[in-house]
Order: sequence, then C-alpha cells, then structure tokens
Amino acid sequence: MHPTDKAARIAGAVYLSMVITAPFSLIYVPSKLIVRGNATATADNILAHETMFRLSILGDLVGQVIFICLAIALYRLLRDVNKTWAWLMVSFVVVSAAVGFLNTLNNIAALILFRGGEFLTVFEKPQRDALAMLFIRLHTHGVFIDEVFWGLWLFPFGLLVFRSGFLPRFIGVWLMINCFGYLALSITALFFPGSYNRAFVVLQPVLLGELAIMLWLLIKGAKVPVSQTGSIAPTGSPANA
Amino acid sequence: MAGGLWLLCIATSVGSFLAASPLIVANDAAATAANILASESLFRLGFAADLISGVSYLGVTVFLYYVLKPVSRSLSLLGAFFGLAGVAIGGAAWVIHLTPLLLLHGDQYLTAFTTGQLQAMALTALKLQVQVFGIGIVFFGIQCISIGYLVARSTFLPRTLGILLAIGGTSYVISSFANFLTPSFGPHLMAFILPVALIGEGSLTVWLLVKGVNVQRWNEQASLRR
Repeated sequence: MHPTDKAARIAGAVYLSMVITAPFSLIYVPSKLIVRGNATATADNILAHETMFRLSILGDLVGQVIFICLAIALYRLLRDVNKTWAWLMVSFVVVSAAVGFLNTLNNIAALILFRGGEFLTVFEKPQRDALAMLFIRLHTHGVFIDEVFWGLWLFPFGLLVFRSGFLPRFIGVWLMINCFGYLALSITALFFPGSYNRAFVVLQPVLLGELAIMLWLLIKGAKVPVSQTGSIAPTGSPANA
Repeated sequence: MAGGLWLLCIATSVGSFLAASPLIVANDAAATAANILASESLFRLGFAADLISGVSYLGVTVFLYYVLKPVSRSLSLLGAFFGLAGVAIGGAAWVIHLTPLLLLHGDQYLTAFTTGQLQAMALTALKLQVQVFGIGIVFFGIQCISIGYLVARSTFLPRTLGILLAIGGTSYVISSFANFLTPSFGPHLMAFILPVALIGEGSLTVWLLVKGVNVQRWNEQASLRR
C-alpha cells in the first residue's frame, strides 16, 4: 500500500472511532438524564444512573484525546500539501481539545454537588441542585463554544483536501461549508438560543461533510497517481504569510 | 496576512474590554447585574469579540511561526506552543464569560437562591474571568519575548520592532505577576504597562500590514537554514 494511502486509512479509522463514541456523551446521555429547567428531576435522574453519567464524562475525555490523534493523523496525510494550513488545522484542534477537556470539569462539579458530601450541608438541597444545574448548563454552553472550533478546523482541512489531488475536491468544498455550518450553529446558540434546535435540523446536510470524508478515507483511501513516488512538492512561500 | 489577523485580534480584545467595562460596577453586584441585563446584546457582543480575538490569535501564532521559522525553528516552535497554551487558557474563560447571563436570567431552577445571592455569584464569575486573563497573559508575554528575539535576529524585519516586542512581552509577564502578588499595587502598574505592550505588538502589526517582510532576504535566510 502506498504510504499516503496508508496514512489516509489510519486517519479514517481514527475518525470512525470518534464518530462512534462522540454521540454517546454528546447526545444520548444528556437526552436521557437532563431535564431542562428542572433541577430536582435532573438530580434524581443523574443519581439513579450515576454510572452512565460518569461514563459520559469519560467518553468526553476520551473523545478529546481521539480528536488530537485524528489531527496528527491528518497532519501526516496532508502536511505536504501546505504546511502552514496543516499547522493551523492542528492548532484549532488542540485548542478545541483543551477547551473540551476543561469543560468536563463542569459536569464533574455538577456530580459532586448532586451527590452532596458532608461539606455541602451548609447549602439546602434545592440550592445544591440549582448550583449543580447551573454547572450542567455551563457544560452545554461550553459545548456551544467548542462548536466554533469544531467548525474552524474544518476550513484548513477542507482546503487541504481540495488541493491535495488525491482526495475528491467536492468533499473539500463540503468540509469548508461544514465549517460555516458549525459557526452558524454556535452563533445561533449565542444570540438566538430559541431557534438552536431548528438550526441544527436545517444545517444537518451541511454537517454531514465530516461523515463523508471519514467514509471516503476509510473505504476509498487516497488515490495517488502512479507517477508520484513520494510526496507532492511543498507549495510554501512567504507570499502565503 | 499575519498583520491583518493580529489587528483583528487586538481590535476585538480591546472591543471586548470596552464592551464589558462600562457594565461592571466594582463591588456592586446589584448594579452590575442591572447593567448587564439592560444591555444584554452588548454583553453578548463582548463575548463574541472575546472569542474572535482568541481565534484570530491562533492564526497569528501559526503565521508568525511560519514567518520566523527560517531564523530558528526550535525557538519559533517554542513561541508557538506558548501561544497555543495561552489561547487554551483563555478558552477556559469563555464559559465563565457566559456564566453571569445564565445566573441573571433566573431560570426556574435558580429560585432556590435569592436574587442577591445570584448577583453575587455573577460578579464572582466576572472577577474570575479577569483573573484567567491575567494567567493567560503570562504565556502570551513569553511568546512575545521569543518572537521579539527572533524578529531582532532576523534579517527581513527591522530589529527595533523585535526589541519593542520583547519589552512588551516582558512587561506583560511583570504586570501579571505584580497583579497576583500585590493586588493593591498591580492595577496601577497595569495602567502604565499596557500601553508599552500595545506599542510593541501594535508596531509589528502595522509593519507586517504595511510593509510585510523583505521577501528576498526571507528567502535567503530560509535557504541558509536548509
């Protein structure tokens, strides 16, 4: 197998593991346990299914680690197209992972408050639950913020795919549009919180760009013309800076 | 391009500061809360500016790494890492920035607390945010010092700019530590030091925007390295 093709398959496999694990922490568990605006019900749910909640925290953390591995795998695949853009892609992912990692602290704080140890007895139970609910809400908002980066990294990624010559151009364009899809979601969450769910449905086709590249990398790999033995010539020049 | 991004970053961070500062009444949680709720969109815009500033700074970091790599690869990488860490630390403040809104909107579940308690928590969040900024700036300061050194050593950018930037970076670090160690004296120093730092960063920004790098010399130094 050609080294570029191999790098593509590895990136695809890492991508797949992220796509499989992410929805558990991000969508499934919150939809099961969190009752919006009702602290007591949420407290009951989370205490009844504490292991599930803890698993979602773990899933969050593992997901960030996979995300960094994915960025490195893609960097290896695409660095020869343009190093600066590849670096920018990795930087966005690294900051996104850092923000995401810290964000899990909000869920952990909520769990501590819900459980209510000895030292928390100075608060009444409704107050504890309310504080915990605040942290749950903060976690949700942390995800909205991270969405900015889930979008941003796709722009250099899409551009590199577009220019690569060994991956389909339309997926590159799709990824770049996908970037603006996430940005639009984040802006909606920030300024028009009421219409977030509708925006999510409307933007769904745009957000599938990531799934497309994942499947392509995994199934088709990279189509490297036979004449090219090594890598493509770097296109760096100070004019890009 | 690096210059343009940097300008965007400085403009938005100043903008975010300007949006927030008239809303915050020191040590008066109730007045601050009333201000924030009265001009909520301004507060949200301030948050957006904060976020954009972080994002554009990431771009600045990557491009500066690229531009200065011919001078010293390892040192420009070091600077870039400090920049990344700084943005990531700033990222921690983004959620804190939104906390006052969540607290003050008074959702159903928050009725367990009195209004006064909620306002006090909101002001605490605002203060925490300022502290996080102070921590992040240590990393930016170190990044500025290494970039300043590289600019001074480079043949394709004027030496003065590098020295100015290094001074600016040093003053970031000093002012930040002064703030933590002597909270009473720190703010006075801050008023004196911020202009110095802004001159350092601003002059390089303007230079990159207007003059760019000397492409011929950049190529020379880049080829020497290879």
